[in-house]
Amino acid sequence: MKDMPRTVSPLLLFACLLAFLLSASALGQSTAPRVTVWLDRPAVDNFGFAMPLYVDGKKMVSWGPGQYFGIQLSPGLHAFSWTNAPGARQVVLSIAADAQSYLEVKYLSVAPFLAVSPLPADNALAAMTGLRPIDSNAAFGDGIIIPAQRLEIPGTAALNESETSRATAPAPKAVDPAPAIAILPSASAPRPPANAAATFTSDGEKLRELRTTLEGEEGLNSPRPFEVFWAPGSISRWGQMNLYGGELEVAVKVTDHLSFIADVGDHRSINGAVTTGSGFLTSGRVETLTYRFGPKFSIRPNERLTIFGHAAAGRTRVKGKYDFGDGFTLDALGNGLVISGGGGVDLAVKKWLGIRVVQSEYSHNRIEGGTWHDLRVGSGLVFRVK
Amino acid sequence: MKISIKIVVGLFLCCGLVGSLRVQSQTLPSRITESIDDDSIVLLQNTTDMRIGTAADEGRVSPDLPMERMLLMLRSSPEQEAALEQLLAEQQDPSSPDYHHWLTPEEFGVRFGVSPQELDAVVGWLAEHGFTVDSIANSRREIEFSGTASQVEGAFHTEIHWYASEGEAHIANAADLSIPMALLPVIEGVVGLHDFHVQSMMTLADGNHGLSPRDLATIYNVTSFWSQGFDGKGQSIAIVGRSNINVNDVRNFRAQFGLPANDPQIIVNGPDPGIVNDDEGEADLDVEWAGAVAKSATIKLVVSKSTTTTDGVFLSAVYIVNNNVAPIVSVSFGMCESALGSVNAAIGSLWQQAAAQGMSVFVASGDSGSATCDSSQAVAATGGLGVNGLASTPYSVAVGGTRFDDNAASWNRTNNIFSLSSARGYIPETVWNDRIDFRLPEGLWSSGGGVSVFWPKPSWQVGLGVPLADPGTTAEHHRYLPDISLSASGHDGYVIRQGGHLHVVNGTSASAPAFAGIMAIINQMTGQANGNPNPRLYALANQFPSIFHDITTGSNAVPCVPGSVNCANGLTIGYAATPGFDLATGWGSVDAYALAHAWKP
Repeated sequence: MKDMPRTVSPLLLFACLLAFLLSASALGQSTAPRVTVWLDRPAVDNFGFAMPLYVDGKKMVSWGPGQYFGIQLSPGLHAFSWTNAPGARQVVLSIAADAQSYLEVKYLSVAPFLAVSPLPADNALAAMTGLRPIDSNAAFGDGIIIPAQRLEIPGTAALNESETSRATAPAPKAVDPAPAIAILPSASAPRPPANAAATFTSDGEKLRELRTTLEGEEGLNSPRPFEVFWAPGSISRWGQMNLYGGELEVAVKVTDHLSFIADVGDHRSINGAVTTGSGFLTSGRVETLTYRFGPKFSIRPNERLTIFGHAAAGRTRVKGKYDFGDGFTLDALGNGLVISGGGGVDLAVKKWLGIRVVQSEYSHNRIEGGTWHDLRVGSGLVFRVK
Repeated sequence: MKISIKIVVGLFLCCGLVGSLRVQSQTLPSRITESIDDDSIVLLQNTTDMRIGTAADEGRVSPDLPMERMLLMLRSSPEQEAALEQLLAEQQDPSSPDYHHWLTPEEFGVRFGVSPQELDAVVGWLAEHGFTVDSIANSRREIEFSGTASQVEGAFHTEIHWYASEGEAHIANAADLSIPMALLPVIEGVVGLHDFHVQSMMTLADGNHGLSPRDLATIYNVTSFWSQGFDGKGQSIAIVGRSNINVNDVRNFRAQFGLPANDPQIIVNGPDPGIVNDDEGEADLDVEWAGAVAKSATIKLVVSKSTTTTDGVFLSAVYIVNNNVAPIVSVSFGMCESALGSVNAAIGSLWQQAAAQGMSVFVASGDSGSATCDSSQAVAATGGLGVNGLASTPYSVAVGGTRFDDNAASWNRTNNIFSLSSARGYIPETVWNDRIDFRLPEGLWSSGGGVSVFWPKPSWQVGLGVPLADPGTTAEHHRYLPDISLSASGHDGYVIRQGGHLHVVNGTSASAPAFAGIMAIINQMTGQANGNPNPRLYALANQFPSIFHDITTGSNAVPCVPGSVNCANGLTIGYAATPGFDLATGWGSVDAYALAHAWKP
């Protein structure tokens, strides 16, 4: 251990400190005021089976005909869609700052394959009578309200306290012996504003603006402005030499799919078998320090998984202390360029924290006239910072 | 018009045919004008090795003792010699139609070898004495033959004895050889007839530093060649060897120092000697360092097993020249002229042929300073002044040694991780003389140089510092050595890999193949073989002295035993470095890149 490079410790300390500060920052979020929106899907539409519903790009539920649920949203524009496929048209509605709103959702056989209609409270209550709440395991998003049981016509059994609510907001309280309808959202709630007409858009810029206004609605796997990745890792020089160490990477978001990364890595040999720059196998110690920069492309197939690929280029510095036997020892140093390409998989744990399940990349190093081919593999934590 | 062309073409063809016929039929009268009578003999002077004088005579060898691969050297006629010298001059004269018009060994034999009749006569004489003729060189100037001790004694009128010298048993002829008077016009002598071998010009060093290939390339500006793609590609260098090597040593050497993979060719001439302990290092050094400078050149190690009568070094050299193995030859063996005796002429004859064939021969000048007749490991010189007879011919470049007069600023603090080198650039040099500079208790380790006693001063050996007369005389004019130098000191020895281990070695054995590597790149740049480099080297030294790193400090003086030959002051004998040419380092070392660019006239 006394041979550990002294330059590494400050680097790792800096990485830890940075990670701590960023994660603390991520924890200090505020919550915007909410309204409750009730959505129902009529018993009959153009699709007779369960369909997903995305709100603001996040999958909220997968529900079948004749189901309903509530959701807490912030007042303002929200986008509804049956998919989050890039470029898919979405229905954008303005949610008023009323206590409760009502939307009827129908799945169509033509684009945008979805109709979302604001309903007056009275009509909504009539339309929802006889519908059943969504299954608890079909709810994916935050803030979803699932009533305890089916809505009955007036005079049927009262609803009990919700047993299945996954949302933070409580289900409507049952007032026994009041009719079940009475525990639904208030019929006296204000009607939707006259100008709240549904519009269709696939304008990414508008959607981004929309998302910006919906900070409180950020999903588990939503891209954040910054990501900090720290992990132990290894470098393999094509079966000749293995180096072990770690790297710290900061990614700055440019778009939801594109970031720019800056990466510093330090790896060193831990056994005696090392190679010189020319690939000659001998004994000794080798340490590499790399600084790389480049673009990173990400896709998020679901609320937890992120698949990314990146390319980077930068500088590499290799220090070696070689023992060729017969009393021949020498120190050597090399500087050069490194070009890397690879990718990996992140798993979101919290909005501010993910696990990089694996990151693997090929590096082509050009050092002092020689070429090294490296395979890098790492796994670690991703701190996602606003 | 068509008729005219036909006439011209016809005339050319006729002239060519006539010329060809003239060459083919240029049969001078045989110089063997009398019948070969073994009772009418003539003594060949200096055909006894001087080392038997200090050895204990252990008596005659068994008559049946095999004596294999002896080399009978044949001589050209005086007319042929004159014509050959004329050709050699014209081959180096850009205004001559024969400029760089090199001969093949066969052409050389036709023009300058003995005639077929003479050859038949000599071969017949050998057969009469029961010898087996193994081969006749293409040059018609060497015959390789084998027999027994009694056959040798009978044919050459001598006795073959056992000798004990320095704990080793040797055989040698006890008296000078004699041959029939009738054969004297065509027989020069016999190489060897003893097993006192020439010495390798290297030794293990104990310095704290070692030169990697790129160090040397940086210091002598070979890297500028490399960066322009001139690294000896398409060229070849023949190494004279008498031990085989383990090719893995060369592979690992090259891999370790970042040189491209490039296995040497190993040409075994006759029986494979295998790994010869005392000579493997020399072969490794020569192969590794010739290929370290000319890193893409083909290095051809020619290996011949030494026999009881003939040194493998001579067998390899004869093979290389007579088979035109490569346009560049590196020789890192030597023996002082007085020890070689009549072999000096044979060596000169061989290198002369090489020059006519466009071959450039680089020979280590020696590691015993001015006292090449003494071992480099001697405590003090007793044999007087002397130079290496393998290097002293006018047809070979004698490569001496320097030492880097370095300091901390000469080297980077750490090594390049790819080439394991640390030299920053040229490092000023002084004469290699480890004995004097480092106050060693023994060993003469220093740059071989001085005055030939065998060869006269060549016409091209002129310039600032070249002696106008031999030192201590006013009218003696001999060949002066060395011609050029590169680092040879153990202070910054050359790293080699031998037997799976690394070693640092020193000696002009290293500087010779290194310079051969530079010459390979010059050949690549000029697009042709250059023959004997000396005329051009000396011309450039006079015309562009800045190409050379003139060594002006130090000397190759070595301690001498008071009262011994040349030890007039009872302390040291040798020569100091002076501005321009000197007898310690020649013209000094070179900026290889500048040398190559100035090479083509």
